[in-house]
Amino acid sequence: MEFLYETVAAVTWQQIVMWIIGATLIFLAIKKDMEPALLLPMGFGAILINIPFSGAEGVMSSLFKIGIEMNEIMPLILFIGIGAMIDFGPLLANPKLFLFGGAAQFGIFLTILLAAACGFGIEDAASIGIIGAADGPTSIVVAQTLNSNYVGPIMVVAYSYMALVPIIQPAVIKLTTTKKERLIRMDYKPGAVSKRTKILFPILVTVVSGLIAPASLSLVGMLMFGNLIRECGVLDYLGDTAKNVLANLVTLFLGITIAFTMKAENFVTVQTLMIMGLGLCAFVFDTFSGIMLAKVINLFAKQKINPMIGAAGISAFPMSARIVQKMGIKEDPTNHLLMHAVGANVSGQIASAIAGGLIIGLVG
Amino acid sequence: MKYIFSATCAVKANVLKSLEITGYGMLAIFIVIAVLILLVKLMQYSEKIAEKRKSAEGYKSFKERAAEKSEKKRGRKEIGESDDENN
Repeated sequence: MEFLYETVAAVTWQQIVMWIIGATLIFLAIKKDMEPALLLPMGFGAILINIPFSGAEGVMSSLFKIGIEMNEIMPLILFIGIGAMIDFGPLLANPKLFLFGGAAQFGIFLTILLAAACGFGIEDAASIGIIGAADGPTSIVVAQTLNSNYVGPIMVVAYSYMALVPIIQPAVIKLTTTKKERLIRMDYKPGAVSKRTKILFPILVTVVSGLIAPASLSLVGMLMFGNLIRECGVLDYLGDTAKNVLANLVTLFLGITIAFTMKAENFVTVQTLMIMGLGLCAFVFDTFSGIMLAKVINLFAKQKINPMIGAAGISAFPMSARIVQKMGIKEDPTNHLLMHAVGANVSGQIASAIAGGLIIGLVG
Repeated sequence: MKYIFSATCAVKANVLKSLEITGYGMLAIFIVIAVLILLVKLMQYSEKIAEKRKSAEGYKSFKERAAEKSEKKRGRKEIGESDDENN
């Protein structure tokens, strides 16, 4: 009869904490609709991997080794799907919006600095900082390439805060902008972006970022490959597959695979709490720096920019753009900022992938 | 005491390294962005000029000009041949 209570007796309090965390993630995914495609598999996986003598460990470890440990293949394939989803049209219509994507990456670097000051090693600090990329695949690639000891907590924190963007960003925007600034109107001239420009753009981005930051090519290259498939006009069937079937399939496995790193002994630590705090800093400073750049530009520019557009520079796509549009409409129901916000938002997607590659190159 | 000192030194080294990463990282991002903005603007500018030239009166595309040239050449050849026959 011993076998009946052998497993129960082996349960540790840390594992029970992990079950609670897993259940919380499932609750947030189902009840609050927070990144359900990832939080639900991660939550279930967290329970699965933290049952003593878990028979699922074999399959999860194999998935992890093949999909993430060996060349980070899963997140990179997911990037092809993301690239196929993105329309760079609003950004190409107003290329100045690129600046906000760049500025909103400052949170990443400031968090690296804070994490290093908190005593994390430089590889771990860089991996924690990349939470500020607000981009799951980039976080996975950087943390895994730099062999961080905290891949699990970093993933959970990154996806949780991405889901919390609708709470974090409005608070920061309201604290750092005045009502008058939020009321600034911006005309949108849907300047016809030619097909040639749309096709050449992903190739240009790949070449330029490759020449300046070659380590970023794994991320930027996959993203731009997906976008080229979308824009070329002769591979619609592949574009559809990439943005629907491929992205869904990888997402399905990614969540449960990441959960392999959520073992109680690695997860229930003080460092996880610190990572949660630092991740929040990253998101706050990303938003803050985007807004500040818009304010600085407004000091010199004739045509004023609504500072909320700067906040959309983080790559949480398309949540961030939607938040800016919502807040703009709340202040003035006739002020539509969506297209500008989308432009800044997709530029954040490119800039965060470049930032990830740069960090790998500079730290690795 | 020795441990605290070495730990402090390690943190200091990491902070300095992260400052370096911040400097180089932000600089590189903005260089990439600046180059991209320039290239996109250049692309759009060249397209605008091409559009203008196309809409201008008497505009002939490269194909049309090439066809015209080859026709002229052929005409000259034919004249030459007929001159030879006359002689």
